[in-house]
Amino acid sequence: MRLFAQMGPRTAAYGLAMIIGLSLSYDLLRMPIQRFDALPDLLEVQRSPGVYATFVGNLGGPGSTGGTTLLRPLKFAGIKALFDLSDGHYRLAFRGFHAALLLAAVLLFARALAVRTWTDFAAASFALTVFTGIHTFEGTVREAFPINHTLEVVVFCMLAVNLVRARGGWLTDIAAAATFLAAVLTLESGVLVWVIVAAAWACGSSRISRRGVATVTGLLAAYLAVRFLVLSITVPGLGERNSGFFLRMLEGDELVRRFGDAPAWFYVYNIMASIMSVLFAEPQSGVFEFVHSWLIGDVPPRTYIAVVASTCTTLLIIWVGAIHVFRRDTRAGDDSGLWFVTFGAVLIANAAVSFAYTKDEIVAPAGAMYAGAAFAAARYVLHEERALHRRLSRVMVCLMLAAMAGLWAFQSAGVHHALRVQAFKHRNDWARLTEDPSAATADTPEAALIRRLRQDAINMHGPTPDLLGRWPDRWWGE
Amino acid sequence: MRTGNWRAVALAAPGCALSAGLAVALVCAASGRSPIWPDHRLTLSEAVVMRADADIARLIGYGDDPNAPSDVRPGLLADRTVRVTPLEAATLSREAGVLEHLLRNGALIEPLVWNRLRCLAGGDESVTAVLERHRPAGAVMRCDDVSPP
Repeated sequence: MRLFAQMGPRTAAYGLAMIIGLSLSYDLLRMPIQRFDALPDLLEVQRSPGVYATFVGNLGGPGSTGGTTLLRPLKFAGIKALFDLSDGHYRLAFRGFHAALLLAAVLLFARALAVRTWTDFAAASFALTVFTGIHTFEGTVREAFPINHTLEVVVFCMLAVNLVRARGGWLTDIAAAATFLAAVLTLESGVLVWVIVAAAWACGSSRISRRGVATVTGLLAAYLAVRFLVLSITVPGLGERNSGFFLRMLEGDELVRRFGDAPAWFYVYNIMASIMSVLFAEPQSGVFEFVHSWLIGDVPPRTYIAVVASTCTTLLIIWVGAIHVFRRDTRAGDDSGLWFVTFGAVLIANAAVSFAYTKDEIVAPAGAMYAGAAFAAARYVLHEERALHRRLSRVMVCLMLAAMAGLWAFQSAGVHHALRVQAFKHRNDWARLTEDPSAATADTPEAALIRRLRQDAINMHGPTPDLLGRWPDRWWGE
Repeated sequence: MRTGNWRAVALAAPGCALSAGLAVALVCAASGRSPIWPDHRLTLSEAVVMRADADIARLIGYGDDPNAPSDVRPGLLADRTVRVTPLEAATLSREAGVLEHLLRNGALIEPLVWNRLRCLAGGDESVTAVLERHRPAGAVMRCDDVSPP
């Protein structure tokens, strides 16, 4: 305890973040490179002559991996760079990079909280469990193709939040521009970096200069112009991917059949579903799991936990946010407005970007900012003495806070279970890869790569989920 | 303790407890005994029952005999430990795909073995279909003396 007290609240917060991040990174290193969705990209970069060629070759068009609907040159260039640097140690390179990204995301989030007091630390402890326990975060660690580009965007967003709170100056401005460029060339939702920069500037909380904001805005305009006018890259169309709609997942052809004449209604549903998913953990990937489970008479505990935790936290954020707006009460620190405004802006923008189809991991950046808003709201409650002392029993408030924090900590712990289940599935996917007898001894680089990845996966040891009992799946899901 | 302090403790305690547990898990993992990633060390027959295709491929690749019986822990096939061959494990757990895979990767099936498996398969159509495809010459189905393990 003395060591803990001597540590200082900021160091303690970093310590917490480091432990949580390292433990999840360890899980990632226990997973093989997944077969589905990752192998085609690996084979593609294997054929490419170099990183620059990969970058240029993915600037849209029929020859590009993204075709005419995706512009992600930096994503594929990154995969190529890692592939070449790996020198055959593919799992170490890609899973190692994934683990490093995850650790960076958690640490950047902890840094952005700017913990100064032990009260801040308490709110940060809660916020870290929200950051890693929210269902949108799980999507950034369960899969990697072979890099999880959604997690990359979360890292870029956390970088942006840190930059708007930095010392300022031309270095900060350049860093903001570079972060935006890197983000937007990695994944379309990288535009959220601009949303954070603009929202922070609009509420007067940004250390990025007006010139810096203008530069980032100019880069956004240039990106949109080049994408839509020069390269003629559009957006994913209706039916290109499966998507949830009310109580079930709809296949692409069914989506076209139902909404082909009026896709706008489906897009509105996706936007609203994405917003509700972050705020209330329901629906998830567009499907109202809670309602569906209720109707079949079997609501698993994990669904109750997710919905209750998210709803309570959202109500807390709304309440404190409203106080902040209407009373302009800055007792809990002057950066609460930054968190509330940027979260609101990112939530709406992230949902808008995912209009074509819903998927939990697409709104992972909004989920990360949600944790920041939760931090600001929780910190306010901890500082609030006057109102709560009169209206509510002190014991009730403590119990409610403990229960809410407990639910998030429980969900955060569940991510480890999800990863070991995923590792089991990935290993089996490779084992089930149908081997053409001639391919087993074929001398081509592609065949050698597939054999190497398959053997790496098969040689890995790990737990068998069914031997862990039924309760982890019921309480944490898989 | 002030009111605000109690609230802070209530809010921070779960996250700190989680981190403490994870720190212990990391230390255990460094010594090769992670409580989050236990190594279940399946036998080949257990891997068949659990549909752990990667473990099946690894164990056979490391030299495990696909015809030799091995223990299956309680709760998987029966309430006690049973000793069965991988082919029997696949048949009893109705894993037709694994059965086919074993037969294509070294598992031998002679008339007596085939008879036992065919009787253990009962009415499962997918498993019986695989067994009929691999029926050895002279194999006859006679289940009077066949009982589950």
